[in-house]
Formats: sequence, structure tokens, C-alpha cells
Amino acid sequence: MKHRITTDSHAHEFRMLRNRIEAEIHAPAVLLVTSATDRDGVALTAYGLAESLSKTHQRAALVTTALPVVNPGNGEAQAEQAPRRRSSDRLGGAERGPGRLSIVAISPERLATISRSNVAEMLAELRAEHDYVVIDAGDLPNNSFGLLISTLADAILVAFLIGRPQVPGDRTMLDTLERSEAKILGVVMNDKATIDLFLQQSGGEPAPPLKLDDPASQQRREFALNRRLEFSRLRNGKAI
Amino acid sequence: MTPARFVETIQRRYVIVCAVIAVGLGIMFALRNVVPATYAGVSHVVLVAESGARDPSVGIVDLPSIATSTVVLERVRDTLKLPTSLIDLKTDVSATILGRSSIMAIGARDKSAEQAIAISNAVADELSRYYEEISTQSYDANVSRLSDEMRAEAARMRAVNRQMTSVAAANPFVISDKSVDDITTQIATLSDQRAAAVAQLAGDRALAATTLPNAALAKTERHEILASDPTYVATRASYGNDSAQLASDRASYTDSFPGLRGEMAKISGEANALRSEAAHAMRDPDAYSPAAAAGAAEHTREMAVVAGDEARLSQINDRLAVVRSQLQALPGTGGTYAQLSEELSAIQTEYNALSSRRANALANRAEASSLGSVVVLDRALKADTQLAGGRSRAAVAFLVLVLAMAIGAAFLVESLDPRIRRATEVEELYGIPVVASFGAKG
Repeated sequence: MKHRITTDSHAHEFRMLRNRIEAEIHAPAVLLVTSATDRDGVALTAYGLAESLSKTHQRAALVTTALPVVNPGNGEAQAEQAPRRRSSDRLGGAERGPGRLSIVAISPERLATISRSNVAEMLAELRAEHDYVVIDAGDLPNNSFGLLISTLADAILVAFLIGRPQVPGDRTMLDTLERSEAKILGVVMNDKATIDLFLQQSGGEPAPPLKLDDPASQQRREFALNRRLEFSRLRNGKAI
Repeated sequence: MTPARFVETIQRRYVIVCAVIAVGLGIMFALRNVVPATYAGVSHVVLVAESGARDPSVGIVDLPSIATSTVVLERVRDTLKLPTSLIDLKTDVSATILGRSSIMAIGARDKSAEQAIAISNAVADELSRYYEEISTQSYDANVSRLSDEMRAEAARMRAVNRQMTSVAAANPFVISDKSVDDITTQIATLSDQRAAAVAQLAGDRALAATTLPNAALAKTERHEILASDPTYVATRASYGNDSAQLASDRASYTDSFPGLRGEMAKISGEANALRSEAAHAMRDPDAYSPAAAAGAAEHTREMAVVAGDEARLSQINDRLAVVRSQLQALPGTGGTYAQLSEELSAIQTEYNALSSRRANALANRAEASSLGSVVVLDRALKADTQLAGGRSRAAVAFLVLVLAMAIGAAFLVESLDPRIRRATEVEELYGIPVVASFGAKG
């Protein structure tokens, strides 16, 4: 049973995002999509962007650590709900799909043993074979793979779930991004319905409900104030 | 806060908004049944002032304070015999200028519709009167003072006039400017009149003297009395016949005729009887003589004329004496009269000056009264039902309040919600721009 992945409903937004990336980041490039929590729709953003890039470039790849088996075809990404295929037997070896989008899925077991050299090697190969490599790194604070990629990627996109409260992971992610030399492209905001629909169609699980009573939200005001100050400093000192 | 964000917030918190509105409407209807209804009567007054003329005492901005002043409200309370206290009345009466116009609305609240109308109209009427009072107050004081002074001067004039009248009564010639000439002329006239009166008296006395009883009148009187006495006439006829017989006998007979003696004795007896009857007739109280009666009446008349002449002469003499005494006293009374006359003239001058000033003050008062006046433009005819300052207005105000509270509650909840929904909030959080949004606006 196949399901159409509903990135078509946001094709225009992805096209605009793609145009912006193409203008700012020249191929070949490795784009990291990450977030502060695992509910922010990193997979949706990464997949939609990779799919959109594949429509204009012959060689686009999506590296994912969370996405179920995805079979793009004829310019439209499709996902098979079952059987799930973990095609990460050969680390660094990208599988080319039937369309222009190649998808590389890395299993959790493999992630546990992956090293910086393995990642660098994989990215070198992907960069050589593709114009744009989009990496779904999951939530950055809880993902060592993402931390590794962040030091190797050319540009970073941050996904954010609309309507979630501030969490401590936001601070951690920002600290990580500040240490990275990659270009911070910006934030992509996703609403929960779109994420849930995407995950449902792609065989994943809907995001858990927001925990408004999360103790972390108690620190929200203080943290937001600090970020506001930093944002103001960036505005005044650097071009954003 | 953009309109879109406002609408978005209201849409997101519509449950809270609806709940607050529902609760508010419930409270409103509950209060509507609990709070007793009051009525409001509204009248309108306009301040009429002649443009370009002298400013009236107070302007339009002062009218609300005057309308709700204790002076006006006290009079209204006395007029309507209101049982409320002045403080309560002051609370229930309001005055508001309508925009930048010269019209002011006077509102009065009361539990009785008729009372509300009456209070509103009474305040408007009393305001109109009181405004005229304070506009002409200074002129009224001036007019009153001038009137008092004029009354005092008039009293002085009356006193001086009485003195002058008294002096003039004592010596009428003091009134004239040529009093000496008038007096001498008067004396000359009286002298002439006296001379004429003396002559008239003399003539009348002479005429009266001619009517006194005399011998001829006495003879005629005796003849008429005796002729009217039949006894005397019969005796006299008998005596005449006998005397004629005696004369005839003597012519026919000698003295020695024996009948002569008898006849002579008879005649002698008849002569005695005739004298006796004459004396008797003359002594008779009823004896009447027309000639004697006419003579007596004429004499009486002439004596009356003489008495009148004497009285007139006496009057002229008295008058002449008075005038001569006035001539002698003229130097003293004339001076007094002249002094009183000058004093009266001075008082009249002062009185005229005061009268002129009072006329000017009255003219100024009339001018001030016409320059600024409060006219009742629109009297209260019906009262509106009110609930805490106007039922409809209160309902609208309460509804607005409820809406404001509902919107405020929505934004309060929104501000307390830690969830991040807008791009600006994300940008503030991360310090990096939002480049795409799937499913979110703004």
C-alpha cells in the first residue's frame, strides 16, 4: 500500500526555500536539517527540501536517520509503509533511487558505531556524486550524528514546531550552531498537522502532544530574554 | 499588534471570549432586574450673547458650574419642595456643554419620571434667572444706591419747600422779584379802594338819613290810622253833621235860641268823643299805616347798605395795615426766602444729577441684561428610563465593558501561553531568520 507524501501541498513553500538555498549555497553542498527537539518536523523539512531540489537537479540525495523507507519516483516522493528497509549496510554508500533523489537511511545501530572519519568519507562520496546532499540529522542536542555532521556540513537549516514551548534543547542547539562553521540558513516552521500527516504517510509515528507543563518552560522567559539580547546584538553587529 | 494578529488571537481564544461575554451578559440581565429603574429628564439651554459687545459676567464654560451650584439647586429645591438633600440633588443633576456649541444639556435623574422632568426644567429656569442676576448684580447695587440718594434729596426738597411755603404765607411778596414795587402798588390800590369805600359810606348814610321818621310821615301815618278806624270815622261824620246843623241854626237863629245850647253841648261832647276815639285808635296795637310801614322798610334797607359799606371799609383798612406791615418786614423775610430758594435750587440740581446717573445705570443694566442671557431652548417633556445613568447607555457601556474584558481575557491567556507560534517569536528565540513556514502565518 502506497501513500502520497503530502509535500505537494507545500510545494510552493519548498520551491521558494529551494530557490533561496540555490542562491546562497552553490553546489555541491551538504545541507544539514536539524532541530532542538524530535518533534520539530526535521524529516518533513529534509524530505521536502530534498525532493524539491531533485526536481531541478539531476543529483540530489537525502540522508536520514529517522525516516522510514522512502521510494521517490517520477519526481514525486513516495513512501512505502512496509516493509521498512534499512539500507545502510554500507556506510557512506548512497543508494540511488529510481528518480533523481537518492535516499540513504542510516540505522540506529549503525549510528551508534559511526565515527567522524566514516561520516567525512560518506559525505565526500555523496558530495562527489550529488549536487546537493540533504541530511536529516534529527534533534541536535540528543543526536551525536547531528553533532558530527554540523561540523562538516556547508549549511544548516533549523526546523521548528509551531506552537511548542521553549525547551532547554533550544539553548543546546544554539550553542552547537554557534560553534559550527557552517552557514546558518534560517528556520523552517512546521505545524503539527503537516508533520503528523507526513509521518503517517511515511510510516512514522505522529509527534507526541506538547507538554505545556514541561519544567523547561519555566526557564522560557529567562532564556527568551537572553536570546533576544543576542538577536539584538547580531542585528546591530552583523548582517543576518 | 497588527490587525491580523489581533484577529488570529481572538480566533484562537474564541472560547474564552464567548465565555466571558456569556457571563457578562448574564450579570447584566441579573443587574437589570435587581437595580431599580430611574428616570432622566433632559432640558437644553443656550447662552445668547451679542457678539462684539461687552462680555457678560460669565461665559459658556461657567454654565455647568452655575447650573449645579448650591444657590441654583437650593432655589430649585425650595421651588419644587423636594424632600431630598442638597447633596443628593447635586448628585442627580448634571450639566454638560454639547461640543463647542453654546448649548448645554441639563439632566436630572429621579425615581419619578415627572419629578425628573420637573427638576430638569426647574434647574433650566432657575439658571436663566440666576444668570441674569449675576450679570446685572453690580448695576443693581448702583441703581439701588442712587435710588436711596434720590429719595434723601427728595425729602430735603420737600422740607425746604415747606419752609418756603411758610415764609411765603407770611409775606407773599417775597415770591416776586419786585416785591417792594408790588407792595407799594398794592398799598396804592388799597388806598384808592378805601377812598371809594369812604365816599360810598357817606352817600349811603345820607340816603339812610332821609328815611328817618318825620312830621309829614307822622301826619300821614295818623291820617291813615284814623281813616281805617270805623268808630272814629262814624264819630267824625256825626260830629261833622252836628257841626253843620249848628252852623245852620246859628245862621237862622240868634244866640238866644234855646236849641243852640243843646246843639253846642252835643257838638262839644262829640268833639270829646272824637278826640278820645282818635287817641284810642292811635294806641291800638293793630293800628296800621302803609306809608309808615314802607318808610320803615326803606330805612332798614338803607341802614344795611351803610353797614356793608362800613364793613368793606374796615376790611380795606385792615388789609392796608397788613400790607404796610409786610412792607416794613420785607427786608428780613425776603432774605430768608432767597436763602431757602437757593438751597432748593442746589438740591434740585443734585437731584437731577442723581436722576441722570440712575438713568444711565438702568440703561447699562438693561444693556448687560441684553448682552448675555440664558434662554431655555428645549424643555424636558418626557423622561427616559435609566439604569445607573441611563438604561440604554448603561447597557451599551456594560456591553462594551464585557467585550473589552473578553478581549482582554483572550490576550491575557495568550500572553500567559508559553507556546511559540509566530515567526517573530522564533526569530527572537533563535536570533536567526525564518526562511519558510509550513502551515503557519506570520
